[in-house]
Amino acid sequence: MHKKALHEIASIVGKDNLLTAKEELMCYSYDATNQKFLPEAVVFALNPQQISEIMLLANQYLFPVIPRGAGSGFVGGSLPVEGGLVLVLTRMNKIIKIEPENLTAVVEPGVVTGSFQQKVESLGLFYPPDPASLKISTMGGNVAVCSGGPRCLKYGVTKNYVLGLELVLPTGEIIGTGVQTLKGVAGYDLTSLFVGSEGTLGIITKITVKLLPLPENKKTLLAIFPHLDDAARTVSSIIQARIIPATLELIDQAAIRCVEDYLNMGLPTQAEALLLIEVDGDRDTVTKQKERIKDICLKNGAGEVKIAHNSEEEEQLWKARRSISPALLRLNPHKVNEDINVPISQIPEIIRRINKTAKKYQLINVNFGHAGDGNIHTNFMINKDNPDEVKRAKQAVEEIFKATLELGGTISGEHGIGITKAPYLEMEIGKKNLSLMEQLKHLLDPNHILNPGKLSLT
Amino acid sequence: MNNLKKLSKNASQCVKCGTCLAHCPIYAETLSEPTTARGKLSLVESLASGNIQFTKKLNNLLFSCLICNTCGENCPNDVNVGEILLEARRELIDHRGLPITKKFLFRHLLNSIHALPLYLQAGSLIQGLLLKKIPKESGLQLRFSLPFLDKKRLIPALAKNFFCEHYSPAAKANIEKKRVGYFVGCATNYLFPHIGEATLRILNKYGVSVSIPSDQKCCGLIAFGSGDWQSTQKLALSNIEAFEQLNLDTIVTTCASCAATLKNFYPKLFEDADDETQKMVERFSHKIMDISQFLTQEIGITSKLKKLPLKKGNLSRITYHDPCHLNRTLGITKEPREILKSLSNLEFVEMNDASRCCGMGGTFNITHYDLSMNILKHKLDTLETLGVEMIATGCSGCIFQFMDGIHQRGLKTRVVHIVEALEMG
Repeated sequence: MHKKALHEIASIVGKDNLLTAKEELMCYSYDATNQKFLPEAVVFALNPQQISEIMLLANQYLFPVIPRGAGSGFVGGSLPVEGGLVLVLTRMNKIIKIEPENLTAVVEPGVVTGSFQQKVESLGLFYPPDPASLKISTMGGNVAVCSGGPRCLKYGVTKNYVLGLELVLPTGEIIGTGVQTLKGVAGYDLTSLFVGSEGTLGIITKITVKLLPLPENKKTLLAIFPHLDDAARTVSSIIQARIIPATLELIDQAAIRCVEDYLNMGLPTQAEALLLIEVDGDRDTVTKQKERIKDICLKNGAGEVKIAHNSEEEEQLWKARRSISPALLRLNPHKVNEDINVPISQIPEIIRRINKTAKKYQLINVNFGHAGDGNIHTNFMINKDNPDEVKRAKQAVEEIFKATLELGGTISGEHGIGITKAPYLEMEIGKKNLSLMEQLKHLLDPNHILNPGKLSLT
Repeated sequence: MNNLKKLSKNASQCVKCGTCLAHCPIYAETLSEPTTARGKLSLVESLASGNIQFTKKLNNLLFSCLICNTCGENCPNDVNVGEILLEARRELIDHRGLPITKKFLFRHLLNSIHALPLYLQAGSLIQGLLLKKIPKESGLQLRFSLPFLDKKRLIPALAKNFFCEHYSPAAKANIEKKRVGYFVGCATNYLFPHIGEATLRILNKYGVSVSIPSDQKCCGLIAFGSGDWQSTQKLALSNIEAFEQLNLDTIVTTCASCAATLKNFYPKLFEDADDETQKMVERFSHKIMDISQFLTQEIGITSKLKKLPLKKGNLSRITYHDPCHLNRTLGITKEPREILKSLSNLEFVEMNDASRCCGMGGTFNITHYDLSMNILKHKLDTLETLGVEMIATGCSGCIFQFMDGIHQRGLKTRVVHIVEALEMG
């Protein structure tokens, strides 16, 4: 980057908010993909005006600008693949307002999702999107990739909660999109265009979200299945019975054994699958749904259904699910983590195909995730120091993506495309859509300076 | 494999998932990635691969850490961040040398039996000149500004009589059932002798005679945390020697930091030493017990205390702060609470986030005073909401930190060591 540009950035944000030492830049070279690209500078923005001025400079000096929240993404969306300036939004972290009477809230992009949820829940309100990273990931980052999570089966994903945005466009204009109300159809739905655009079309500086009343009650069940097929079929059966649980998580045998090995918590290691199910709502609904789900599980071949009677038992049941990620790394040091999504009815089939592929390429494979909405996290546990294993994992991923598309699914339910899935995007959306995306990108960002090298945009 | 390569291999176990961001007390204040565990671990990796050098910047970044190891405790991949950073600091010092003030302190003062008390006694005399007394509290405040100390801060007064001088070599129980050694530690010796006195009274009361060798020294944590393993090793050897000849099974401590150093860090310091030395160090470390652990496990104090009839009336409320070195390093969390819960005159109340680091972090508090106090703010907020009369803990560093913060905020809460609380019970 041009020295003069750096100098001008420093005068916009103040010296303390600009990092240029190599040691500091290195700490912004990675995200949760563990890939590294060194930026040329890092800036902490504090308000939209600063960002606007920075974007003007970027167009003048032609350097890339890469927006970044907590850097917890799994697809490299915040990596400075072409160098340039990493624009960190963690310090724009105010909850501007929560309006219980309107069921809305306005937040800055750096607000940590989990903290926001705690805050609204203390007021009897509810913001459902719950990505696993919610303790660290930011609202801005969640909106940029349209994050999901276990609760999205019943409550929908991030985009279902975003009513309006304030953004800085790549050319520096500050715009507002959407509404502050629960409805609104004035003009094109630009908000939807920006939600999930992975920081390639604009920099989010303010988010208006919709809130729900906090459900008064919930119950957690754990169903143990001797056969994986039965568990997968149960998922569809529950939905077909017109019950939408808040969460419906699947844990396969490899994951069960892994967690049991890690925690010794008495999990049934002979079972091929567990379903962890949570229902919420008023007391009557919860009781009724709990009983019906229990019946459906037993009818479909569950050996046993455990129901948590208090919060400690509930915590115990969830512990198994939450411990999968840490436990997995005991199998092998690295994981290739994909988040394919298929129609609910295709879950048994995709799991059969995944396991077949894993066998074919001799890979350790663990499946778990949000089976209720068809979003399966399939993990190949590999050692990156073994180039052959890396190659086999790549082939397996491609094969699974193909199978997913054949079954009417998508290659990413909630992680995004970034750089890691970019080579496969066209496979799913086709040339025409990709070209339309490129035209939109060019219209908003004529110099291609905002988060370049992502989403296979050229 | 050289040290740096080994370190880098351990650091590379970090997969950069970012879980540490949710747990780092420093990141919560700075919201800046270089202060996180994954940031520092990636620097350690880069150091080994020659991507960066042992620069001053690197030095500052690697020392911007409390070594509270909350990140390590919560790491999904079980990366022992605290240990890796301590070793990285050693490499730094090997390459860059010690700053002159630290060199003087670690290599001369701490290590010399006579020099430190002498300097400190001189200090005790002139402290009236440098520091002004604050009437109600037992602490002192700086009168003049000093380059390395913040003028606002509260500093405990130096004791008129240093503990070891007064009580060494032993405090015998009337009817001796057990005999233990007492590793006093600098804070108790020079600043808080009343903690040591309470310890002796309690131990003696339960039939435990206490040996207090006069030639024990600083545990060395301050040097170890600064990367000066050489000085720490020297201190370790003389401490081991001081206790070795007494043929004790148990050596108690009343400071979590000393306990962590003697029990966990000493064996680490001698990992490359000869077998005989290693065995000697292991033997010593094995004997170390925190006072709360000794009292609950060896004396069964909680059942003895529970026999006392409950007093009526409004009980004073007391809460407990987990020192990082007791909780995360040594895994001691139950014992202090058991003691507090069995006291008849006090009502124990659990505070939220009791194990959150207080922000002291040894010299971190001196090099990053404002940041350190901002970290403490979270604990003080909790204390204020809880409205307890007392907070108990088991580490001199935490006591030091809480005294300062409580005074500056003007709270009425009293900071006490577990043994002091016990005497009130």
